[in-house]
Amino acid sequence: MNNNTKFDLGALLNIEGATVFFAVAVLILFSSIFAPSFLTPENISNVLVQSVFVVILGIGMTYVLISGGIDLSVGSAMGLAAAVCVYCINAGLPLPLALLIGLATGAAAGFVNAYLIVVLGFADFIATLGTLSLMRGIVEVMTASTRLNSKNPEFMFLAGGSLGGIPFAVIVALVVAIVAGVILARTTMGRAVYGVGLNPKSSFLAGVLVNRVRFSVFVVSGLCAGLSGILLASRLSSVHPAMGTGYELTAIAAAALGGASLSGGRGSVLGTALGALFLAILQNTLSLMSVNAFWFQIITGVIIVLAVLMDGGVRRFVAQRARAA
Amino acid sequence: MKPAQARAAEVRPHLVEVRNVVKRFPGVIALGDAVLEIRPGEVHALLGENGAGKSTLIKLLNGIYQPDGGTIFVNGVDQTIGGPREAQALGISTIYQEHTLAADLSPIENIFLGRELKSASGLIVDRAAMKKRAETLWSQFGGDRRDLGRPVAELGGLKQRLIEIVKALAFEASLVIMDEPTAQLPDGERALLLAHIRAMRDQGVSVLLVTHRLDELAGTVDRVTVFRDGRWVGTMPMSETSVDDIIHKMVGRDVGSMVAAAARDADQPLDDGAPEVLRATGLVRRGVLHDVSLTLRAGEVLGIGGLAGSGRTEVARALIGADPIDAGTIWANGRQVSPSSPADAVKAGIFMVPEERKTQGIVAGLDVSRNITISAPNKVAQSSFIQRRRERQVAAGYVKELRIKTRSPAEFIENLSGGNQQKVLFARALFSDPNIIIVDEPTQGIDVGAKTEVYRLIRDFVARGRSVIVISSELPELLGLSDRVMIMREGRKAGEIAVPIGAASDQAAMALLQRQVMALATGGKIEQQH
Amino acid sequence: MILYSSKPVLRKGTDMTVISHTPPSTNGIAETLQSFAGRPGAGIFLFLVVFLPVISFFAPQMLQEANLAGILNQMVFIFIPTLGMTIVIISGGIDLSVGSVIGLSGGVAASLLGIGLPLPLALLAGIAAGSAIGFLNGIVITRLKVPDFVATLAMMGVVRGALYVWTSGIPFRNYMDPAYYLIGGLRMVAGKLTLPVFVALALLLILTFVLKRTYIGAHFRATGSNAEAARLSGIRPDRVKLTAYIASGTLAAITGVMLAGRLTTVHPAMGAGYELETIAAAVMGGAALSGGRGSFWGALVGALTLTVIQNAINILNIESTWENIIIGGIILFAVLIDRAAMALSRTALRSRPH
Repeated sequence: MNNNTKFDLGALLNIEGATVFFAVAVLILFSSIFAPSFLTPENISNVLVQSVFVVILGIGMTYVLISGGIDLSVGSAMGLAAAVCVYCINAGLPLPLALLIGLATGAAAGFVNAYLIVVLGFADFIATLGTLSLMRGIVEVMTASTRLNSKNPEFMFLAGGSLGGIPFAVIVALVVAIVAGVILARTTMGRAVYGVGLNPKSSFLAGVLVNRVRFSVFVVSGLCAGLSGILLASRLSSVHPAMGTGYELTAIAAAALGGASLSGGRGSVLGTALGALFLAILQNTLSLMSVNAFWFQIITGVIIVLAVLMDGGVRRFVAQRARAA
Repeated sequence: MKPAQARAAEVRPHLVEVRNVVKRFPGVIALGDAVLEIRPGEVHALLGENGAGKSTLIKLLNGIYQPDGGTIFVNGVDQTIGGPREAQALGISTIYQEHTLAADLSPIENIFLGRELKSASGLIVDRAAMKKRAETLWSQFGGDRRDLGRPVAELGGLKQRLIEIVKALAFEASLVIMDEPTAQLPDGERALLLAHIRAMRDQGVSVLLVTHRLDELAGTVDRVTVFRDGRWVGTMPMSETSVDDIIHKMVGRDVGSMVAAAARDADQPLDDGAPEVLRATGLVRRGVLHDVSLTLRAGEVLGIGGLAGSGRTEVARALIGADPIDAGTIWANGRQVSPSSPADAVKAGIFMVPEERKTQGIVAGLDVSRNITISAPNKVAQSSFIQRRRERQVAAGYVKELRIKTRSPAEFIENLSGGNQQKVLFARALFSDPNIIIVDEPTQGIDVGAKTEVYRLIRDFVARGRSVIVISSELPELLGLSDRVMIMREGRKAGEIAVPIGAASDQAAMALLQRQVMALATGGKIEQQH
Repeated sequence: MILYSSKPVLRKGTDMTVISHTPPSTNGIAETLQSFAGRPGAGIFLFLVVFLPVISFFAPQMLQEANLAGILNQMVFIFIPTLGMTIVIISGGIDLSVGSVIGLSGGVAASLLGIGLPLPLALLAGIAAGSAIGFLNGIVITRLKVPDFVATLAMMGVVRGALYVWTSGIPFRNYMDPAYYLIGGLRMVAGKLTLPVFVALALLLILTFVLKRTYIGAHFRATGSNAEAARLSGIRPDRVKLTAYIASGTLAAITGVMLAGRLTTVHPAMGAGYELETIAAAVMGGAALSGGRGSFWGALVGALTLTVIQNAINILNIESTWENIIIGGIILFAVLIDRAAMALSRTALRSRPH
């Protein structure tokens, strides 16, 4: 009963992102021992930039997962937003306008998902599986004859440049994470997202606009995918037909690793960002150790399942502690 | 079967006998010293209020639960029932309240599910034999052969019930347990189902009937056993008892006095000139509600009575915009409103504390304070940013005021007892500052002490000139709290009864009122028996 | 049931055994039509019946014998995994790993053949690999309680990754055995039809027999329709689901080993995207994603429709890049139809007295 004096593992595990924080710490330790070039400033900056895409994508996914949904279309939405953005740049539109159109494309993709799911009542994973295919197809059509390239220096600055020694993309990701994190943790909108994911019926009867929340999270996810895609296009200075393929898996893994529950109601932006960082470090370390890059895909899959299992285990443990107390 | 039956003849045991069975759950004794004796070929009613232990007993007879003490005899033999299949092998089949048919399967497939008749090879299903057996049984119930090939989902409620009975009978059940079999059946079909139950008895099958509808007992049931708060109260032949006596045994005296204490004080009568705060006219939701109208005045408690499935909850859901309505108008506080979601109702000053606290009320995973403020988070927020300190203060205030037992407002709500969860939901309602609160089954599954406190909360609320709509299956509670009771039947308003001040403490008056409510709720059958 | 009034008709005063609904017998044709419309996949079948003549008006070569046989020969590679997907969907699950299983099983068969194993053994090993992955899916879902689409999505990534790691991204080549040309469908066996067509036909008949004639089919549907009811009837839903995933893995693997023969090289990306096409085909064929409903003949219609559309894209010289767009559109369209049908039957139920 005396919780003040005893070491309370349950409470510790309940701290947002605690588990994944330890995981990142252990991984960094491992990487710096087994891959000596890991801790060079150049490599660290490289890892951070590499993590940006999944961080941003994962933040959108976190919103969706917490609300009790899933969005499988984010990888394709990335590709589509990037393709549209680069297309607009090449068509001679001013860069800010092109970026805005790219972001709007992502938001529109989220809007379509939201409409299918909230208004037409599709199962979320089927709706987003359909739009995954649909949007990938559009990207393929757009990039079929020519690869969409852009050597626009201002555009390339987005993911290549740095401000005061910090990569610009990392700054963007930080800003997005802080804004999204504060909204989720501190505002009435964020509170509603958790409520909807934990118990949509109760939340509805208590006066939460459940459908509006479910709609918004998919738009947020699309918007994040759009931003992530534009940054990736900037880094690659081109859009290829398969760009973003498989990213949905990585984004889900990052969120799950960060403590987001696939059954809704749990998760945090900080956790997801750390989860994405973990995956980026892992990928970087594997390549530094010249391990076949495809191991990363396998590990991602295993991590998802393990994270889901651990989530269940931790929850049972915490509940048990609460009952015992 | 044979040796057991031989012994049965010697000692004339009961078909099923439950002796001093105890079942505990963490923190609760669901059943203490339960006794139940079922004779061969009788219709036996198992009665009691919510939480009396009926469903626990059924689950024990099915082997879904194992008793913590006592014994269950089947045909005089001490049996450990390991699961539904073992119960079936002993001749005990159960028809649960939630439909347990697979809607996409045909009746034949459902009847033989998991017990398919196989051809000699043992591999192929003997469809002809199954069809024949099902048709024979089905024709005993007067069913059309064509029904047996279609998905169950396409059959009506009565036929689905009958298919479940056939499913039980197809495997030589000697005892069929039916949990609320007539719930949600219209009157005509209900009478037919009861007739089928009598016919089963006449063929030597025993039926254990669990029901809330006391008007079904006379003429169908041979004996009744009453439980209250997990304990056996009595078993008597139906011919030697009355509905009043049964109600008395089910409810117990203490609840009556408890409700009387919650009733309106004689020196605080409802102000005749009090303004109307809610008026609904001609509410229609196709297939669910038919032309329902109601009014509510400031300071008044309006009760909505009726059987489960009669449209009580649906009226409330229509009022708060939880379900769309096809026709009708709603005025709240003098303004016409058309809430398209409960959020609109909150704005209009109407808040509902729903039934089924676990699934529709609490948000498990959020703490007490967040559960309270979810109804109006803007009240503890500044330009959308929630101020945690203010939120905790507000919650602490309610915890103190409503005497919610919790370690702190930061405790997860699922760790509170049912009664305290209910109080948190009241706090949630109060926090949105409504002038009308609708409470649906406010004391479902909470202990006696918590019940009194819930009654007090309702009383305090109306004492401040605000209004409450109470929906309840427990008649003493409904009549005790309400100034006026509106009774629903099959989606229609069946009538309205004014409850005179002081009636709650007058047993004779209460009994009369209860009969009147039951008469309206069931279409006037009770009256004929008295 | 929607066409006539479903008000109860009580014949009072006779005997107690009369039950309420008395369907009028005058609506014979309407009822037949309706019972057809209610069958899984009927809508898409009608679509196919209308679409074929219309499209062949623009592309007359569509209806030529060689092209029709070609459609069949091509269709089976979608159809066989769709059979497995249908089983999983009927039992209330989903399998996103079929594309990766197709790739891996083809890879296993090709590599073993390449190192000199006899063809039958190589094929069996490939199929066994698929069954094993299906088994693993089933265990993760039923024992570890990981949501089905998450578990199979992860498996999709793991298996595909494993294939890439194994091959280092280099395709398997030079494993072809004379008999493999036959099994892969590169040689005709009867007229212009190839062996895989007959394999598919055999599978269709066997599975239809199992689903209709043995108790297994009812257990699958009961599990997907109402797992609790199934459990109370003594069925173990977990075991049924496990069986479904093994079946799906096995059928995907059968496709994979035949596809390895057809393509004569196994690229590590082989089979990618098949999960989408098979879900599309199954749903078009009337499998309800909520479980409990679906049919193998519906799966046939679904797979056929997809192939005909792909064929039409080819013949009409539409950029093949449009395929993804069209498939995505079709999935959403099919689900929309599914939703509409469900809404319709729900209103029919609601207008009925309870």
